[in-house]
Amino acid sequence: MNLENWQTQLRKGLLDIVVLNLLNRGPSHGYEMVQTMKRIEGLQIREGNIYPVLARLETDGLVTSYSQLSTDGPPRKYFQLTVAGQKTLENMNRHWDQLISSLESIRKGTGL
Amino acid sequence: MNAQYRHSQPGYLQIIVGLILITIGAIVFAYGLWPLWMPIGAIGIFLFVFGYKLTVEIKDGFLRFWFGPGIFWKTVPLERITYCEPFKGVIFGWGIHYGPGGWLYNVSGMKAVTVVLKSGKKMYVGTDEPERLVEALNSSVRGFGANEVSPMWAEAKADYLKRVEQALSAARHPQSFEILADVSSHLDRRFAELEPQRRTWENFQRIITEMGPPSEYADLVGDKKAIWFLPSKTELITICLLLVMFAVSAYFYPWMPEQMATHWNGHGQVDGYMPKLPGMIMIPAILTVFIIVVIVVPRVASVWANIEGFRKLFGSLLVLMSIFMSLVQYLTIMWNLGIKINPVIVILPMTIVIIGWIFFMLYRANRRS
Repeated sequence: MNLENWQTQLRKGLLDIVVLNLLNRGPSHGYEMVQTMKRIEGLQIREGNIYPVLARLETDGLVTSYSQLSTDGPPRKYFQLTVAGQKTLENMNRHWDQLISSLESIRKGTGL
Repeated sequence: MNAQYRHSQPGYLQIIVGLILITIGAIVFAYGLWPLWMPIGAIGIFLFVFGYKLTVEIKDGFLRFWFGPGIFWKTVPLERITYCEPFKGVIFGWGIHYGPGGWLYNVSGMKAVTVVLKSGKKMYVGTDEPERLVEALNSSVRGFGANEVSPMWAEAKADYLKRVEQALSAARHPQSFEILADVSSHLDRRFAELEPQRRTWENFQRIITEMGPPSEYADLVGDKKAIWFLPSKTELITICLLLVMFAVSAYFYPWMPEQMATHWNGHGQVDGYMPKLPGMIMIPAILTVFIIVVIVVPRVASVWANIEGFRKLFGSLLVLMSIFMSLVQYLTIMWNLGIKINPVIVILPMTIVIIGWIFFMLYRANRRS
C-alpha cells in the first residue's frame, strides 16, 4: 500500500470538514485559510485546492461569500458559514467524533 | 463583484431586418399563402434574438462578451491579453466572422477593438465606443498588476490559469469562472508578498508548484456525476439542430406528396421514392440514434475510461454530422415542395469536409499522445 497516496486521499476527504471548522471561527478568505492550514501538521494542502472546495460548499448552500476591498492587492472574497452550514458542520463533527472513538476502540481492542 | 466595465451596442440592422422577416412570416402564415413562411419567420427570430445587441463586460479579471441575451459568449482572462487598441481597418459585415488575422465579433457599425493575446492570437470585439473599452481594458490589466510589474510573472500566471481553465472545463465544472477569479486573485496576492529582489523565475515557478497541479482542481469537483451529465456546447448545438429538424419536418409534412423523392443518383436525378411518413422521419431518426450513441450511452454506461478525450474528439464531428444531415433533410423537403436544388452539391463537399475533419482530428490526437 502506498502510504503517501492514502494520506493524500485522506487529506482531500477531510477538506470539507476542515474548511467548515475554520469558517466556524469567523469569516475568512481562501488565502488566509490556506495560510492557517499550512501551519497545522498533517493538513497542509496545495494552495489552489481550497477554491474548488469553497465553490462547491457555496453551491451546496453551506457557505456564502462577499467581497471586501483590500489596500494591499485585489479585493478579497470572504466566506462565511450559513445556518445550513452550521447544522451540517455539527453533524459532521459528531460523526467525526464517533469515527475517532470507533477507531480508538478497534486499536485498543475494547469495543470488539 | 460589480463589473468594472459593461456596455451593450445595439444591432439596428438585425432588429429592423429581424422584425420585418417576422412580420412577413406572420402575414404569409396568417393567409396560408406559402408553406415556407416558417423559415422566414425563424430567420427573423434568430436575427433579432442573437443580433439585437452585443454586450462587452470586464469583471473579476476577465473580458467577456456575448450576443443578445447571452446564450453564446466568449471569455478571455485579462492575463492573456498583451495589447489592445481601437481597430483602424475597415470592417465588412456583422456577426461572427474572420477578420484580418483573427475572429471578429460585432453587431453594428464599423468600429471594433483589436485584442492581441500573449499566444499571438488576435480577436476583434465590436463596439460603438472603442476608446472607452480600450481605456477600461488597459486600466483593468494594469489594476491586476502583472503586466507592468513583471512580464515573466504574467506569463507564468497566465499559463497556469489556462491549464486550470482547461481542467475545469473538461470536468464541466459549473463554477469554473468563480474558481479562476479566486485563483487569479490568490496568485496576485502571492506575487505582492514577494520582495522585489526575490521576483525571479524560480520563485514564480515555486509559487505555481505550491498551487498544485491543475488536474487536482477537477478532482475536487464533488458530485462528479451530476456535473458530468451537463451537456457540452457542441452537444447542445447538436440537440438544437435535431429539434429544429423535427419541427421543420412536422411543419412541412402536410405539403409532402404521398410518395416523396428520397434518393438521388450522382447526376442529381431522383432514383428512389418512399411513402412520406418514413421519408420524413428517416434522417431525423438516424441523427437521433447517432446522438443516443455518442451523447447518451457514454453517460449511462461509463465504458470509456477516457470519456473526456473521446468527447473532445467527437464534439465538433457531431456538429458537422448534424449540419450535414439537417441540410440533406431540408433539401429533400424543398425538392418535394418543388424547389429543386441538386442535393449532390451539398453532399459531396460536406462529405469531403467531414472526412478531412476526421483525419485532422486523428492527426491532432496522435500528435498529443
